[in-house]
Amino acid sequence: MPFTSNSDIYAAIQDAGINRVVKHVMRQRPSLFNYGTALVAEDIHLLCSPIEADPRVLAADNPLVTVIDPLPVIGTSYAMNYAIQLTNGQIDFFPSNIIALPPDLNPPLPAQELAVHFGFCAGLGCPSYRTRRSYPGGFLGTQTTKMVSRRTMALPSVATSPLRGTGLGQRVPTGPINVGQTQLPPLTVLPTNELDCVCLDLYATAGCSIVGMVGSESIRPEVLGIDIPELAPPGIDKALECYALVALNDGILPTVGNSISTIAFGLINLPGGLGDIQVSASTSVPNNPAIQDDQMETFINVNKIDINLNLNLGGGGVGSSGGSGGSITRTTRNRTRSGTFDLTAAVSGATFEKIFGAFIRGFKFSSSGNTTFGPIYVGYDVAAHLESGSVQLNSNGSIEVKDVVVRWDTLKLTLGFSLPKVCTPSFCLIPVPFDGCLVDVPAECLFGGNPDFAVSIDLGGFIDSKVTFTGIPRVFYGVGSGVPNQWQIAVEPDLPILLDIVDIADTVGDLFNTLVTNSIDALISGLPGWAQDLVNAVLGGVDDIIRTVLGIPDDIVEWLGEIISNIGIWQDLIDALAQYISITIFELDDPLTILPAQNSLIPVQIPVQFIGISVDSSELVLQGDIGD
Amino acid sequence: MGMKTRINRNFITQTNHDNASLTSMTTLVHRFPESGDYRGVVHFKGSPVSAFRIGVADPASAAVGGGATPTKVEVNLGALHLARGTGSEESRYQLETGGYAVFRVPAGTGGGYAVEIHRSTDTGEGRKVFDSRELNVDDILALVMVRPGAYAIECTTDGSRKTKAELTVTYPDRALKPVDPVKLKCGKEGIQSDSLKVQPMQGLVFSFEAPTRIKIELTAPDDRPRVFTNKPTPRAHAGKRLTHRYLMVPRGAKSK
Repeated sequence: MPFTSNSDIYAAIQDAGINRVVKHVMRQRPSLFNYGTALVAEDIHLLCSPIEADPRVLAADNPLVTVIDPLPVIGTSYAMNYAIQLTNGQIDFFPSNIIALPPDLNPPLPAQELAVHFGFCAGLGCPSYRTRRSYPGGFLGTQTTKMVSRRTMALPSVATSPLRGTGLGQRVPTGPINVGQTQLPPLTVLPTNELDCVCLDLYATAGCSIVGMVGSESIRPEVLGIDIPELAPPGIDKALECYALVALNDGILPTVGNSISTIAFGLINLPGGLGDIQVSASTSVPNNPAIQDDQMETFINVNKIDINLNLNLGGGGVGSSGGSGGSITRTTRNRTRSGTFDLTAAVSGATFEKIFGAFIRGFKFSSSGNTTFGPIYVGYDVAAHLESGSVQLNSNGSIEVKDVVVRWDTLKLTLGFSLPKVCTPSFCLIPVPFDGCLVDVPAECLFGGNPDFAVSIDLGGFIDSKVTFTGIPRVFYGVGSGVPNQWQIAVEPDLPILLDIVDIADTVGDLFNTLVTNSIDALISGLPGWAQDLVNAVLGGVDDIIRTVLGIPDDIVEWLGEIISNIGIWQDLIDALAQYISITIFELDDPLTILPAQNSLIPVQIPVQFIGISVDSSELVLQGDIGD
Repeated sequence: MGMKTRINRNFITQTNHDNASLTSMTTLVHRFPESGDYRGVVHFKGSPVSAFRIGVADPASAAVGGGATPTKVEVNLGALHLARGTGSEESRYQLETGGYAVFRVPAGTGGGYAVEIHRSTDTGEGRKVFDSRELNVDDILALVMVRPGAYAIECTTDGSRKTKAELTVTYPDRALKPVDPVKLKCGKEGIQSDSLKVQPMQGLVFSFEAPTRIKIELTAPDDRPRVFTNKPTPRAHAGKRLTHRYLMVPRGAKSK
């Protein structure tokens, strides 16, 4: 059954793929998952669970821990260091086969639900008894010179500025810290050498829905149940689960949902500047998104397609493309994994026909130049665009574009001719018997040189032509030089391309005759009447001038068609069309940015390990794998 | 492409002809039956403007002198006229005895030329052997009639005997076909024909038996209102549809 039997576009992502995404996010943006006081941020060995960060995070000096204010100790002027961490995030779409749910969440996982598992660690920095003094303020003792005073409001705020390896002005506290406004008694942060840690596993079940206005919809997971099995006292259990629920629903899962949305909805975006496709969730399926077969499936309808093509055909041909000062060399890359794809996207035949049809009809062609056709000078100025026609997906993997009308906005030909000089006949005055002529009377000519005249005729409105071709979509892995690597999809025309010149209106012949006659008349109009008649008599009249002198055959229409063909206008059109078809119609950076760089934070990028494409008579399917 | 139509005005305006005033529409030939040295003088509108010399020699003696002599020399009167005053020596031509000197005026040049040739002797200028103003038995005059109309040919023999003939140049109202020139003899009694008809651009060739001057003058031009009888007829077949199917392969690509 086609993926798109219930929608125009289908997009699915596998739980294993999301787990790979989550892993990439946790490694590349660890500060989203690790929170601690400044002391903890400075000395990450105090953390309860080690952070596995991407080397690029360390190289960019990005924070591993989001700094939060110390925990005030009630009834005292003290505050304590602490840390909270989320580790080992996983997601599991129905049917469950990644996460073993605790009994409190009533396994197995119900249909259309997903399970989430996070490790949760919390640590509190208790002061050592060996360093504690028995009097208030004793902790200020000899460490005063290492104190850093901070002025802050009561509510904790997230600090994302780099704390590791900083210079002056960003010195990290290593001892007690005064926190609070000047009017309030300053808090003294109790120093510590270690955190007393507790690590728990947090399990949650969730459903998914599509939220947002049409055109900016996104997938939003929402936690339905949550459990921390190891936590025994019911009150603490409930409180922490409540805390985790808010953190998941309003913090972590929206981020994950946005990442998934980027993939699901972003796949159907056209490359920059080509146009816009407005989509909305399909309502003709019982669940959308549907969580089944270890995938989250999204069914999308296309509400509106605006193709705004203004392409520069100077680049992007088969073999290589690129821009912005770089270049891309196309290669092919095979899939290394087996089984279900991490990503699947399908476009129904009808929708593809709309999109690709709009793309084809965005083709515009212009050409001008001059050449010769035998003794005739030919100048041309041509502009055309495509209209109508049909686009059809074939079961053999090809796309057939049929009977697209080539509308000639202008097809102006300027034909330049040279008339004979019109000379008296030379003759022999004194012959040499059997040996030619000794003295002859040379010709005397009316015109000093071959008189030129030109006829311009615009055949644009007189020609009906159609083009039919078959294209085969291909996936290339573009190795960038100066630009990121890209997965690219282009349609390669299956040659030859058929160009049908259906009709050149008969009236063209009459029009051309009239133009030639008028031009010759204009050319000799300065001569006396008898001389004009003499020219016509010598050249045989307009009919003979056209036929014999200018060498134009009886069938002017056929002859004009032959000229257009011979001077290469048809060929130029086909060259431009082939180049147009071959441009990249879809491209995806590898790695793909799912969270942009933010201040000094590096972007979160996921490797796109594979993209494949297939076509049958019902849909075009795009599938891909996310790299580890 | 730009128009570059240059019209030879002489072609249109040169309606009258006179062997005393050679034009580009006339070709004059003189045969030198006797060996010797000759000196020619070119006249333009009645005044001498240039001179030249022709050495006529028997073929046998010319061969002894080291080289064959031509049987024809072309004398460009316009060029001789233009060369005057340049300080160069008189142009010299060599000719075989019995050979021909062909006097021409370049195309597009106005008329008004005449030429006379005297025999050169040790004592100076000898007898006149040729005068384009009075053609004789060794001369041939060829000219081409272009302008349609009625002409009068006046033939003056021996300086006083005048004979006349009527010449009609037909109107070019139909396609012209190449025809041979008309040959006319001006005998001692004058021109042989009373009337003759030629088509435009047909040649006339005169030969002579006595000193003769020929004048041809347009007496009644034949001008007619232009009738566009040759308007082209529709040539495409009504209802015909041109259908071509081209199997096109982009340049630089290969078809499967």
